[in-house]
Amino acid sequence: MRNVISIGLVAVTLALATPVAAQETKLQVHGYLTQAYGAAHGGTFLGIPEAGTADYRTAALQLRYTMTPNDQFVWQFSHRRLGQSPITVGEPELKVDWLFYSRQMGDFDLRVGRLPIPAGIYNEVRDVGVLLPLYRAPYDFYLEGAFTSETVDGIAAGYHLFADKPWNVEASVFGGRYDMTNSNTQYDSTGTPVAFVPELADVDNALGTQLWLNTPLDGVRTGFGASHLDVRNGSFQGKWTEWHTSLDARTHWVTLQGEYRKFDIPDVIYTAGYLYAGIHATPKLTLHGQMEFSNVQLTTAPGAPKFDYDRTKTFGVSYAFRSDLVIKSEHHSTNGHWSDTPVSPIGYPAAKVSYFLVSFSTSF
Amino acid sequence: MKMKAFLLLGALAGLAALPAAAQQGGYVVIVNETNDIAALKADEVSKIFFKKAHRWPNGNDVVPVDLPESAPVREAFSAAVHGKSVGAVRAYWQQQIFSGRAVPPAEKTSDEQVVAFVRVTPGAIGYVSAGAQLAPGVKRVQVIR
Repeated sequence: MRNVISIGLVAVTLALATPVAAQETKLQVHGYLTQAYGAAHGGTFLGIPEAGTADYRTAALQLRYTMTPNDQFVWQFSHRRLGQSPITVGEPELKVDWLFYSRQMGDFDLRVGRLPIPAGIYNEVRDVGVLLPLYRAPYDFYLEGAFTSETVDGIAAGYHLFADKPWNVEASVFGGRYDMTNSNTQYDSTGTPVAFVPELADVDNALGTQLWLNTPLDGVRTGFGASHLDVRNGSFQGKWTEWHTSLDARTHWVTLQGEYRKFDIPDVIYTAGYLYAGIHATPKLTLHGQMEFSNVQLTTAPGAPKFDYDRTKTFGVSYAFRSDLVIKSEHHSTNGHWSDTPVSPIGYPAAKVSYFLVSFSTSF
Repeated sequence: MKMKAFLLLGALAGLAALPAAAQQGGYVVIVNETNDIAALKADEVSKIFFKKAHRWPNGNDVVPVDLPESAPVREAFSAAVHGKSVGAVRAYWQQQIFSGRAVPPAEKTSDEQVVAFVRVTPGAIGYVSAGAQLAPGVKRVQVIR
């Protein structure tokens, strides 16, 4: 069944894959697909085993019904495979990703329903391969599958301040609830960690904001965001607060990005960030380099230890035949506690796992 | 010497007589004739076609209409107004579409269709080839750089 759905998605996406073009009909259809092959060394990372896997992809179909130029319904359903990752156990092959009503009122916009959370550079487009420099958004900052959500069931509003000025601000606020999958460690009878297992959590009272300051330099902006949420159950139950800051500079020859965030959750402070540089050697060929980090500070008692949770270096190259057809090759060297195997929770030696991914992405 | 000066003056006079469209690189921007706008800055036109400006001064919704990516005049328009290639504009719209925010302006397949749409849509704004036949009901807008 899984293969049938996957092949079907690939076929539909490729059949429909034409350059983004405005359609006049009230119903518009868009979509994307990224298919990858990956193999790891030294363990399994995010579902990528040493033996390699092609069971690694993201895809979505988006339907947009325009009632008036200012009133739209958006429905997007998505499919994701992360190889052998335990996080995706029980995840449906197809899920309703978004389903929201959107209204534009001048420089003000309102969205109600299941909608993408505006957070950082990539949260709203974290599965769209043609928009990401590498296969996924930087993992330490954005995470994937666990401890994060792309969407919220609720409401979001946006306002563009000083829209006609060189310096202008795009402000968004959101609120609502969502389901989150967390990851917890399973130990055997001797106390040895044997696996990471998914743990579902209900998130209520999610409230957050994202601000972008656009500068007079085309493509250069800086951002700040913050959020608060109540995790109702599971090992990480309690109030979470988070803030992050971003720098996003995209020029003809170089793209520079950096983001930093801090999570304050019960018993733990998690900080993470990354620096990314992309050199556009030609309009189609880009060389990528990225450094990520994350740290964990236990707050169970005064003077509790702080851990280097992860350090990852990434190099890659991509070639964009068009902006909607891109191939990528990338290599990640990780040193930390995110690997599926070896299982190394906090307090255990960091695992050194490297992996490579080759992928192609398309959209229409 | 007199002949050279005469030729130079003639050339300058000829340039001055060129329609604004030709000076804009082969396109003219048009709006419905009920629109009071006579001139727009290039960055204002850019914001309209990126759907960052939503209302005319008279309160009407702005309705931009585009030409297909394959149209040579679109390349000229994108370069002159947006300062970007058609591919870069497409990448911008991919970002908007897949973040769930917006979709690009509707496309018409020809100059004639753009003119016909603008003629019957009070808030519409489009662009056509410099040599396109403009029907009653639409008017040119000067683009100021």
